[in-house]
Amino acid sequence: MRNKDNFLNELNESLYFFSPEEKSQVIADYEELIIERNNDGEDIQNIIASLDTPDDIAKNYASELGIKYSIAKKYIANTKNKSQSKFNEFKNRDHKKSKVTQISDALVYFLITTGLIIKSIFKFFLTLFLYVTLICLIVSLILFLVLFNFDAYNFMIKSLITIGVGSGISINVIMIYGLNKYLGKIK
Amino acid sequence: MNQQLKKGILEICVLSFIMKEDRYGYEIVKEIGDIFEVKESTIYPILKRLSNDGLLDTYLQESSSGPARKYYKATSSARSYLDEEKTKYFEFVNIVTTFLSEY
Repeated sequence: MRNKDNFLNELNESLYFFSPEEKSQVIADYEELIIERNNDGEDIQNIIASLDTPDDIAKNYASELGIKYSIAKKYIANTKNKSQSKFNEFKNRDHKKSKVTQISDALVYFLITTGLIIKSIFKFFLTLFLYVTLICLIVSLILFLVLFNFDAYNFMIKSLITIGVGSGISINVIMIYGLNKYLGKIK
Repeated sequence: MNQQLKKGILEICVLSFIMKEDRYGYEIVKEIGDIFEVKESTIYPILKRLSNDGLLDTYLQESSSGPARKYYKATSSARSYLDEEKTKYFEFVNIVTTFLSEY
Protein backbone atom coordinates (compact mmCIF):
# COMPACT_ATOMS: atom_id res chain seq x y z
CA MET A 1 0.00 0.00 0.00
CA ARG A 2 1.43 3.36 -1.04
CA ASN A 3 1.42 6.39 1.18
CA LYS A 4 1.38 9.90 -0.22
CA ASP A 5 5.17 10.31 -0.34
CA ASN A 6 5.70 6.90 -1.94
CA PHE A 7 3.06 7.68 -4.50
CA LEU A 8 4.55 11.04 -5.46
CA ASN A 9 8.08 9.59 -5.56
CA GLU A 10 7.01 6.76 -7.84
CA LEU A 11 5.12 9.19 -10.02
CA ASN A 12 8.27 11.28 -10.27
CA GLU A 13 10.19 8.21 -11.46
CA SER A 14 7.50 7.16 -13.92
CA LEU A 15 7.49 10.58 -15.62
CA TYR A 16 11.02 10.03 -16.94
CA PHE A 17 10.21 11.66 -20.32
CA PHE A 18 9.44 15.06 -18.74
CA SER A 19 11.90 17.82 -17.84
CA PRO A 20 12.41 18.39 -14.08
CA GLU A 21 10.09 21.45 -14.26
CA GLU A 22 7.36 19.50 -16.02
CA LYS A 23 7.71 16.69 -13.50
CA SER A 24 7.36 19.02 -10.55
CA GLN A 25 4.28 20.60 -12.17
CA VAL A 26 2.57 17.21 -12.40
CA ILE A 27 3.62 16.35 -8.86
CA ALA A 28 2.21 19.69 -7.71
CA ASP A 29 -1.07 18.95 -9.53
CA TYR A 30 -1.41 15.63 -7.76
CA GLU A 31 -0.41 17.07 -4.41
CA GLU A 32 -3.06 19.76 -4.85
CA LEU A 33 -5.64 17.16 -5.84
CA ILE A 34 -4.90 14.99 -2.81
CA ILE A 35 -5.07 17.94 -0.39
CA GLU A 36 -8.30 19.29 -1.94
CA ARG A 37 -9.99 15.90 -1.75
CA ASN A 38 -8.72 15.50 1.80
CA ASN A 39 -10.22 18.89 2.68
CA ASP A 40 -13.50 17.61 1.22
CA GLY A 41 -13.42 14.93 3.91
CA GLU A 42 -11.84 11.98 2.13
CA ASP A 43 -9.21 9.88 3.86
CA ILE A 44 -5.71 10.26 2.34
CA GLN A 45 -5.23 6.47 2.16
CA ASN A 46 -8.52 6.11 0.22
CA ILE A 47 -7.60 8.91 -2.14
CA ILE A 48 -4.28 7.28 -3.00
CA ALA A 49 -5.99 3.92 -3.49
CA SER A 50 -8.56 5.46 -5.85
CA LEU A 51 -5.91 7.02 -8.10
CA ASP A 52 -4.36 5.11 -11.02
CA THR A 53 -0.89 3.65 -10.52
CA PRO A 54 2.03 6.03 -11.24
CA ASP A 55 2.96 4.02 -14.33
CA ASP A 56 -0.58 4.22 -15.72
CA ILE A 57 -0.73 7.96 -15.06
CA ALA A 58 2.59 8.43 -16.86
CA LYS A 59 1.38 6.28 -19.76
CA ASN A 60 -1.67 8.52 -20.15
CA TYR A 61 0.55 11.60 -20.32
CA ALA A 62 2.81 9.89 -22.84
CA SER A 63 -0.01 8.78 -25.12
CA GLU A 64 -1.70 12.20 -24.96
CA LEU A 65 1.56 13.88 -25.96
CA GLY A 66 2.45 11.29 -28.61
CA ILE A 67 5.40 9.82 -26.70
CA LYS A 68 6.07 6.09 -26.58
CA TYR A 69 6.24 4.92 -22.97
CA SER A 70 9.07 2.48 -22.31
CA ILE A 71 9.80 0.77 -18.99
CA ALA A 72 13.42 0.22 -20.10
CA LYS A 73 13.91 3.95 -20.75
CA LYS A 74 12.34 4.75 -17.41
CA TYR A 75 14.79 2.42 -15.75
CA ILE A 76 17.81 3.88 -17.53
CA ALA A 77 16.73 7.47 -16.85
CA ASN A 78 16.26 6.80 -13.15
CA THR A 79 19.54 4.92 -12.91
CA LYS A 80 21.22 7.94 -14.43
CA ASN A 81 19.50 10.28 -11.98
CA LYS A 82 20.48 8.10 -9.07
CA SER A 83 24.11 7.93 -10.16
CA GLN A 84 24.11 11.70 -10.65
CA SER A 85 22.82 12.32 -7.14
CA LYS A 86 25.18 9.75 -5.63
CA PHE A 87 28.02 11.44 -7.45
CA ASN A 88 26.98 14.87 -6.19
CA GLU A 89 26.79 13.49 -2.67
CA PHE A 90 30.31 12.21 -3.09
CA LYS A 91 31.57 15.44 -4.67
CA ASN A 92 30.22 17.62 -1.89
CA ARG A 93 32.24 15.70 0.66
CA ASP A 94 35.52 17.42 -0.22
CA HIS A 95 35.70 21.06 -1.19
CA LYS A 96 39.24 21.35 -2.47
CA LYS A 97 39.34 21.27 -6.25
CA SER A 98 42.72 20.33 -7.70
CA LYS A 99 43.33 18.65 -11.04
CA VAL A 100 43.82 15.34 -9.27
CA THR A 101 40.43 15.48 -7.49
CA GLN A 102 38.74 16.41 -10.79
CA ILE A 103 40.15 13.32 -12.47
CA SER A 104 39.25 11.12 -9.53
CA ASP A 105 35.75 12.66 -9.56
CA ALA A 106 35.36 11.68 -13.19
CA LEU A 107 36.61 8.19 -12.38
CA VAL A 108 34.20 7.78 -9.48
CA TYR A 109 31.31 9.07 -11.59
CA PHE A 110 32.19 6.54 -14.26
CA LEU A 111 32.38 3.71 -11.75
CA ILE A 112 29.12 4.62 -10.06
CA THR A 113 27.30 4.82 -13.40
CA THR A 114 28.72 1.54 -14.68
CA GLY A 115 27.92 -0.11 -11.38
CA LEU A 116 24.32 1.05 -11.43
CA ILE A 117 23.84 0.03 -15.06
CA ILE A 118 25.26 -3.42 -14.36
CA LYS A 119 22.97 -3.66 -11.37
CA SER A 120 19.90 -2.85 -13.47
CA ILE A 121 20.85 -5.29 -16.23
CA PHE A 122 21.71 -7.91 -13.61
CA LYS A 123 18.43 -7.45 -11.81
CA PHE A 124 16.37 -7.85 -14.95
CA PHE A 125 18.21 -10.66 -16.72
CA LEU A 126 19.32 -12.75 -13.79
CA THR A 127 15.80 -13.01 -12.42
CA LEU A 128 14.54 -13.90 -15.89
CA PHE A 129 17.35 -16.41 -16.35
CA LEU A 130 16.62 -18.09 -13.01
CA TYR A 131 12.94 -18.51 -13.76
CA VAL A 132 13.68 -19.96 -17.20
CA THR A 133 16.19 -22.43 -15.73
CA LEU A 134 13.68 -23.43 -13.09
CA ILE A 135 11.00 -24.14 -15.68
CA CYS A 136 13.49 -26.13 -17.82
CA LEU A 137 14.51 -28.24 -14.84
CA ILE A 138 10.95 -29.09 -13.87
CA VAL A 139 10.00 -29.94 -17.46
CA SER A 140 13.05 -32.17 -17.95
CA LEU A 141 12.31 -33.95 -14.66
CA ILE A 142 8.75 -34.68 -15.75
CA LEU A 143 9.86 -35.82 -19.21
CA PHE A 144 12.49 -38.05 -17.65
CA LEU A 145 10.01 -39.76 -15.34
CA VAL A 146 7.38 -40.18 -18.04
CA LEU A 147 9.46 -41.35 -21.00
CA PHE A 148 11.62 -44.18 -19.51
CA ASN A 149 10.43 -47.71 -18.74
CA PHE A 150 10.96 -48.86 -15.22
CA ASP A 151 13.62 -51.39 -14.14
CA ALA A 152 15.80 -51.66 -11.05
CA TYR A 153 19.04 -50.51 -12.64
CA ASN A 154 17.33 -47.63 -14.32
CA PHE A 155 15.60 -46.79 -11.10
CA MET A 156 18.91 -46.31 -9.33
CA ILE A 157 20.21 -44.00 -12.01
CA LYS A 158 16.84 -42.33 -12.14
CA SER A 159 16.83 -41.62 -8.44
CA LEU A 160 20.36 -40.29 -8.59
CA ILE A 161 19.41 -37.95 -11.41
CA THR A 162 16.17 -37.09 -9.67
CA ILE A 163 18.12 -36.12 -6.57
CA GLY A 164 20.45 -34.06 -8.75
CA VAL A 165 17.59 -32.31 -10.49
CA GLY A 166 15.75 -31.90 -7.21
CA SER A 167 18.68 -30.21 -5.54
CA GLY A 168 19.10 -28.08 -8.68
CA ILE A 169 15.54 -26.91 -8.30
CA SER A 170 15.98 -26.26 -4.60
CA ILE A 171 19.10 -24.20 -5.24
CA ASN A 172 17.18 -22.26 -7.87
CA VAL A 173 14.27 -21.59 -5.54
CA ILE A 174 16.60 -20.46 -2.79
CA MET A 175 18.50 -18.23 -5.20
CA ILE A 176 15.35 -16.64 -6.59
CA TYR A 177 14.02 -16.06 -3.09
CA GLY A 178 17.34 -14.72 -1.85
CA LEU A 179 17.87 -12.55 -4.89
CA ASN A 180 14.43 -10.97 -4.64
CA LYS A 181 14.97 -10.29 -0.98
CA TYR A 182 18.42 -8.84 -1.56
CA LEU A 183 17.35 -6.68 -4.47
CA GLY A 184 14.33 -5.48 -2.51
CA LYS A 185 16.66 -4.36 0.22
CA ILE A 186 19.17 -2.45 -1.88
CA LYS A 187 16.57 -0.89 -4.17
CA MET B 1 -17.65 4.45 -25.24
CA ASN B 2 -14.62 4.41 -27.52
CA GLN B 3 -11.64 5.93 -25.64
CA GLN B 4 -10.27 7.85 -28.63
CA LEU B 5 -13.65 9.38 -29.40
CA LYS B 6 -14.19 10.24 -25.75
CA LYS B 7 -10.80 11.99 -25.53
CA GLY B 8 -11.58 14.17 -28.53
CA ILE B 9 -14.92 15.17 -27.06
CA LEU B 10 -13.39 15.71 -23.62
CA GLU B 11 -10.92 18.16 -25.09
CA ILE B 12 -13.73 20.32 -26.45
CA CYS B 13 -15.67 20.12 -23.19
CA VAL B 14 -12.67 20.94 -21.01
CA LEU B 15 -11.80 23.90 -23.19
CA SER B 16 -15.39 25.10 -23.23
CA PHE B 17 -15.59 24.77 -19.42
CA ILE B 18 -12.47 26.90 -18.97
CA MET B 19 -13.54 29.38 -21.66
CA LYS B 20 -16.51 30.47 -19.56
CA GLU B 21 -14.32 31.43 -16.60
CA ASP B 22 -10.90 30.56 -15.18
CA ARG B 23 -10.98 27.23 -13.39
CA TYR B 24 -8.59 25.47 -11.03
CA GLY B 25 -7.40 21.89 -11.52
CA TYR B 26 -9.51 20.14 -8.92
CA GLU B 27 -12.63 21.99 -10.06
CA ILE B 28 -12.11 20.74 -13.63
CA VAL B 29 -11.34 17.19 -12.54
CA LYS B 30 -14.42 17.11 -10.31
CA GLU B 31 -16.92 18.64 -12.74
CA ILE B 32 -15.77 16.97 -15.96
CA GLY B 33 -14.94 13.76 -14.10
CA ASP B 34 -18.42 13.46 -12.56
CA ILE B 35 -20.29 14.23 -15.76
CA PHE B 36 -18.23 12.12 -18.18
CA GLU B 37 -17.11 9.43 -15.73
CA VAL B 38 -13.40 9.88 -16.31
CA LYS B 39 -10.57 9.99 -13.80
CA GLU B 40 -8.07 12.75 -13.18
CA SER B 41 -5.46 10.67 -15.02
CA THR B 42 -7.37 11.30 -18.25
CA ILE B 43 -8.05 14.99 -17.65
CA TYR B 44 -4.63 16.22 -16.46
CA PRO B 45 -2.84 15.05 -19.62
CA ILE B 46 -5.43 16.85 -21.75
CA LEU B 47 -4.82 20.05 -19.75
CA LYS B 48 -1.09 19.57 -20.18
CA ARG B 49 -1.38 19.15 -23.95
CA LEU B 50 -3.70 22.13 -24.33
CA SER B 51 -1.15 24.19 -22.37
CA ASN B 52 1.69 22.90 -24.57
CA ASP B 53 -0.33 23.85 -27.65
CA GLY B 54 -0.71 27.39 -26.33
CA LEU B 55 -4.47 27.16 -25.80
CA LEU B 56 -4.29 27.41 -22.02
CA ASP B 57 -2.28 29.54 -19.58
CA THR B 58 -1.84 28.78 -15.90
CA TYR B 59 -1.36 30.92 -12.83
CA LEU B 60 -1.31 30.28 -9.10
CA GLN B 61 -3.77 31.87 -6.73
CA GLU B 62 -3.99 31.58 -2.95
CA SER B 63 -7.16 30.02 -1.62
CA SER B 64 -8.78 30.60 1.73
CA SER B 65 -9.50 26.93 2.38
CA GLY B 66 -6.29 25.16 1.45
CA PRO B 67 -3.18 25.16 -0.73
CA ALA B 68 -2.55 27.62 -3.56
CA ARG B 69 -4.61 26.64 -6.59
CA LYS B 70 -3.38 26.36 -10.13
CA TYR B 71 -5.85 28.17 -12.36
CA TYR B 72 -6.27 27.54 -16.05
CA LYS B 73 -7.10 30.42 -18.35
CA ALA B 74 -8.04 30.18 -22.03
CA THR B 75 -5.67 32.10 -24.31
CA SER B 76 -6.81 34.32 -27.17
CA SER B 77 -6.17 31.56 -29.72
CA ALA B 78 -8.38 29.15 -27.76
CA ARG B 79 -11.63 30.88 -28.78
CA SER B 80 -11.26 30.39 -32.54
CA TYR B 81 -9.92 26.87 -32.03
CA LEU B 82 -12.89 25.93 -29.87
CA ASP B 83 -15.38 27.43 -32.36
CA GLU B 84 -13.83 25.41 -35.16
CA GLU B 85 -13.83 22.19 -33.15
CA LYS B 86 -17.42 22.74 -32.02
CA THR B 87 -18.56 23.23 -35.61
CA LYS B 88 -16.76 20.04 -36.63
CA TYR B 89 -18.28 18.19 -33.72
CA PHE B 90 -21.86 19.25 -34.48
CA GLU B 91 -21.42 18.35 -38.14
CA PHE B 92 -20.13 14.96 -37.10
CA VAL B 93 -23.03 14.39 -34.70
CA ASN B 94 -25.49 15.35 -37.46
CA ILE B 95 -23.95 12.87 -39.88
CA VAL B 96 -23.98 10.08 -37.31
CA THR B 97 -27.56 10.84 -36.23
CA THR B 98 -28.78 10.85 -39.81
CA PHE B 99 -26.92 7.65 -40.57
CA LEU B 100 -28.20 5.82 -37.50
CA SER B 101 -31.78 6.84 -38.11
CA GLU B 102 -31.60 5.52 -41.68
CA TYR B 103 -29.90 2.17 -41.13
